[in-house]
Amino acid sequence: MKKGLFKTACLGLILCAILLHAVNVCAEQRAALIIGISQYRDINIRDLKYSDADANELKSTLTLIGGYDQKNIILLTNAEATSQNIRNSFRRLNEICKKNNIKNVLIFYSGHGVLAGKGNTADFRKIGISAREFLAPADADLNDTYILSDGSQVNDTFIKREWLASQVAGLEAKSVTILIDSCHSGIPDFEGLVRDNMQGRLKPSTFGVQENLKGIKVYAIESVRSDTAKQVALISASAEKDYSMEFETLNHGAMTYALLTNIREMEKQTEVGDVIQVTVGQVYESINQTFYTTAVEGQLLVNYHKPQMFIMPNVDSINQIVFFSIKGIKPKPIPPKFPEQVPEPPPVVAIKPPLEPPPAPPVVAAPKPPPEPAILTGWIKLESIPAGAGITIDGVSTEKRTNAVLELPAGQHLIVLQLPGSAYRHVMTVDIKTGTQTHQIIDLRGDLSVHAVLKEAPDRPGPQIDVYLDGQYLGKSNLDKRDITAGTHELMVKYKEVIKTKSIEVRPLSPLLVRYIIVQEKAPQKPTLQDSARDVVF
Amino acid sequence: MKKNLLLVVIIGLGLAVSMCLVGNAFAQPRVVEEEIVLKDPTVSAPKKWVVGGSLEYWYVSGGYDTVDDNGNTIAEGDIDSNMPGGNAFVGYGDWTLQFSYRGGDTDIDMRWVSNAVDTEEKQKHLEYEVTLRYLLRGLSAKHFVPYLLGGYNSTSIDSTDTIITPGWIWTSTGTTVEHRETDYRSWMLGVGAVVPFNKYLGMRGDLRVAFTDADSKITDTGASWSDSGIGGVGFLTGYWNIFEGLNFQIGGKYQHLNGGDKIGWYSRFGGFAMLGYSYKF
Repeated sequence: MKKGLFKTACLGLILCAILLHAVNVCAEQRAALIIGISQYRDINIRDLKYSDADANELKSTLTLIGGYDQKNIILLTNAEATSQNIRNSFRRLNEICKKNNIKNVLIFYSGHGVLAGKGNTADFRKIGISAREFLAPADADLNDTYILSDGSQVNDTFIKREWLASQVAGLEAKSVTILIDSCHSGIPDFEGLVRDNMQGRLKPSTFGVQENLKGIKVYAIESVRSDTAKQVALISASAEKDYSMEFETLNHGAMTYALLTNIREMEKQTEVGDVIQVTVGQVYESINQTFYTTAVEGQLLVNYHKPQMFIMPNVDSINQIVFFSIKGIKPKPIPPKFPEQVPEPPPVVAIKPPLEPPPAPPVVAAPKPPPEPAILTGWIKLESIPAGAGITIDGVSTEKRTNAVLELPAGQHLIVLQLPGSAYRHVMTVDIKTGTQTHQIIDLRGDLSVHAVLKEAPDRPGPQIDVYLDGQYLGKSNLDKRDITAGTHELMVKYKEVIKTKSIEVRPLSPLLVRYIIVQEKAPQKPTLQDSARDVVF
Repeated sequence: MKKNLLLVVIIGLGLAVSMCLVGNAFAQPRVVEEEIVLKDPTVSAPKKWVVGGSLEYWYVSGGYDTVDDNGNTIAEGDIDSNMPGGNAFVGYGDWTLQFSYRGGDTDIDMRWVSNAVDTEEKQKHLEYEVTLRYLLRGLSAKHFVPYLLGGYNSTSIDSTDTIITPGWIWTSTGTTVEHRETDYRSWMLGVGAVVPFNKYLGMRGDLRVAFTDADSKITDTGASWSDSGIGGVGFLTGYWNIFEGLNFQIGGKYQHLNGGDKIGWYSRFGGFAMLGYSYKF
């Protein structure tokens, strides 16, 4: 008996080790670059409500559920997601791929997209940008647009399609999955762009042999890649010409909502101990299913915009590119157990009564059901400033609001806090230790400053303008408020007869300074009949 | 042990400094700039200044009678007068300062009633005038803008009066010809109004009282007189603002020069036209 127990224990340990190793291997094989931009620097680019929180939540979800190792994920949100930082992050991503032998890479972008083309439907400008502008980094500048000799307009502050394709082509990974939750995110010629960049890379070199020459000339297009077996999938929230949307009722961008919902659902449907590999094809199918079954404001999501998928090198890749792996949480069904039959007493046979009464048949007690395994739990005390934020644990909304103490199973959990009426979600991962209480204080407020200066004296405080936030009078500029609840607000300023209103996204740890530059122009005087008297000479 | 403690303190300080730096980095605000464009008429009232000039023409033709102090007609005749002129002006706001020049000829043919003597007088007029106008906007209505006028006028008339009826001479010269120079120097004060019907059409009228000091001299003999009197000038014109800045007026002008009893008065009424251009900036 003891030997059997020992054997079982050893076997269990070996299996655990194999499983842990397998999970680690899975984690090590993936890397991700996640970008979410809600706050844009350019006043002409409207802020978005959910992009930054969507990116945060995806990162936590991939770490907790999707088999990604946190150290292999690069996250850029809001002001971090500048054009330069995005470029640098692709380099870092490639280094991670090389160092950790990463096979599968995920690139996620949530923010504004711009329609590149000759049409007149560009998102930000009435006149189209006819180059290949695609995604808007946090420091995109609409005014930094210039015109080429063919009349087309170029803006180098945007991320261009070709550049993105070249980065994808250059990644040292077997498969790359790109998810873009933005307007105009479909790229019909994406495969061609990636393929072109995989054929050869430009290698610049100084021109000539004389050292005093200043010219640079590309003297060779060196073929540095023959990895035509690379698999690339692009899942876009919309077709090239279409918009994509974010909805208050979903609390997310539509496509990210579908993605996160399905990851959680897959986790729920997978039994404990099982690890399933989810392919990009399955992800796309599940996102589509959500778009066809989820209604917002009386319309199915698919009626607003339809996700698209572009795949290379062939359609079979959709079932070969593994998006993520999920460890199941669904309890395994316990096989019904019945008490063993009590052995029937031996048949009574007429025998000659012995001298002593026969021994009573042994009474075999029915075996007790196995004890329920003890659930190991810990506690977390969640406080927020201000209090009253709704608490969602691992995608399930609880009835509780901060400040509250919750008992949770030991392990890592995804916690989302959201104040009522605010679009801002605070996403975090917590590690609950058995029998201990963790204390988290989350400040859900941000800093807002409103300054006004005269154009002719920008370095001196200008005239005082009246500032209103969400219709409430906040004070006169120049004011600095440090207790604005994070989320979407309507900022209104009044100066003389001029009223300006704009939507702003306030975030913790991302102070916002709205600087109004007052330009005083001569008002064209409306001529009156009396004015015409000046024309009458005498 | 002490060395280790020192090391810990140094590392701790270093960490604290780096934390502070990180904190400052976070405190760097995201700056969003937006313009408030204020169309403010008080910032700098545009087109306050006006400069311009105009050409004018005064034509008088008709009967011309001479009366004595009792109002009895002592001579009857005809007058024919042409007075072209021009002016230049500069204005700021409701103030306009104008300098005018007028010069012309006047022919007066007369028959003296008592003795049926015919005379022919040829006059040369030379007139300089400085006028300041102030538009009374505070008293204006939609169709009525009054103004005040003040100024100084200098009018010189050189006349040659010839008796054409034989057998008669001027007692002042003993000949049939009398040369006379008369200067009128007048301070003027007046009121007027512009009555715009619409942006383009309207009327202008003003009346100026002239406080005149006059000198008159018969150059043939050197005899001279000085006196003063109160006269006046009146305009009534219709105007057309052809386009912004170009103003055409046509109407009537009445002038009453009064040199006092010793010199006498002199009145003319005729058609008046003016074409002016003004530029505002």
